[in-house]
Amino acid sequence: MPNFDPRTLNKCAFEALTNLRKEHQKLVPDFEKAKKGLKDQKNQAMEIYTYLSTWGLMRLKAEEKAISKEQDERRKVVKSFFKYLQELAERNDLAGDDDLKNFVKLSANEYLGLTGLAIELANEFGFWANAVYHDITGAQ
Amino acid sequence: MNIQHLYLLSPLHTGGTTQEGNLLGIARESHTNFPYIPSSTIRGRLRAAVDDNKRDALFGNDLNSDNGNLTQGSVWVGDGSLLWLPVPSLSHGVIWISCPLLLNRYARVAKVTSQTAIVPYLYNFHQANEKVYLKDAIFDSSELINWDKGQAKKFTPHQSNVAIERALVLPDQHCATVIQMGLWRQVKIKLDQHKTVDGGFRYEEAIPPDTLMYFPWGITAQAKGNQEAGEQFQDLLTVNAIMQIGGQESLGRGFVECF
Repeated sequence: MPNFDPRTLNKCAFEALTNLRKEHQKLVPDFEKAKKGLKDQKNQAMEIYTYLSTWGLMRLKAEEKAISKEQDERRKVVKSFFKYLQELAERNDLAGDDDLKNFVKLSANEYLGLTGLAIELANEFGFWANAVYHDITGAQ
Repeated sequence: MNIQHLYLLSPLHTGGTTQEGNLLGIARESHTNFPYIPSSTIRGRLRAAVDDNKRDALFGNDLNSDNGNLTQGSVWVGDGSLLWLPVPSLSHGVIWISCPLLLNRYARVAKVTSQTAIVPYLYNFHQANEKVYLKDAIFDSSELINWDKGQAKKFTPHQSNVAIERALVLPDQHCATVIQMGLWRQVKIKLDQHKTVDGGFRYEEAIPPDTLMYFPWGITAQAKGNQEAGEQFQDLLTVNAIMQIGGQESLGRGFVECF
């Protein structure tokens, strides 16, 4: 059972974005060259909340596949978001590559509950993006 | 305590503290997170619409007045609360949603008594075996409870030209989620001199048109039930049957019908 101390969601978002940033900087050690990928990560992290509120959880899941190959860092943020959502919701059928179909099986009650949790988590992603990518300017 | 209903004719934006990421959020109640209209917004709007000679008596003076001391006016105005919010539905076009928390709050303020308890999943447009689509969620008619139309009417106050025909009561937590998804949201961009997008997207939220809200008002204790002040304020509300509240007036936001 995840500990629902009010800081749990903060920790998830901070951890997710910090790990993504570290991984990318490991792949591209030159900071100037890494900037493009980091900016994509920051933009996506900020966008999740409005995307989710506007289009819903299922379409956000579809974004994992829909985002173009040139924007792989954006995709990684969405993937990471679902990984942490799955952990928080104590499920194992949300973060996999073929898990889109599982969203259709959920009852209205489960789907709305999960969306509520996802909106809260997305809000934290939006907030922590500014802290984790504080040196990335020109992003949203 | 008196009550004034507000039917939104256009999106209503009241600047809030939410500004996570690229989002300009709206004012929200701290204890429920539901969007609301701060009483100062409504009060300020009405204060600006009243004649100079009645202004100080009704609303109190301001810091710039000759009398150095601030005085209290004879009327008080409460926060604007949500009652019904429209959400798109594939099966029914538009469905207005609310929840026990909001409806019971309304019942207390408007002194509405209901024969049946306000419970989740009440709906007033019952049709046997008909599914109800609400955004991404689908409810089977067996999951929903028929709400007597007469009872439902007590909670859907209306004027002759404004009626909420399809009302659905959701559990508090789902209502908050669906309201979040049902907010009016505008994407904003900035173009540079070559008409290409300068920077990224920015979003602005607003309470959608066709939402029904209300605010309570009354006479302050100091005015000791001053009937004249009450009548003057009621006249002010009648004269301002359509008024503009909140920001972005130049974009046509915040027009409401009062009744």
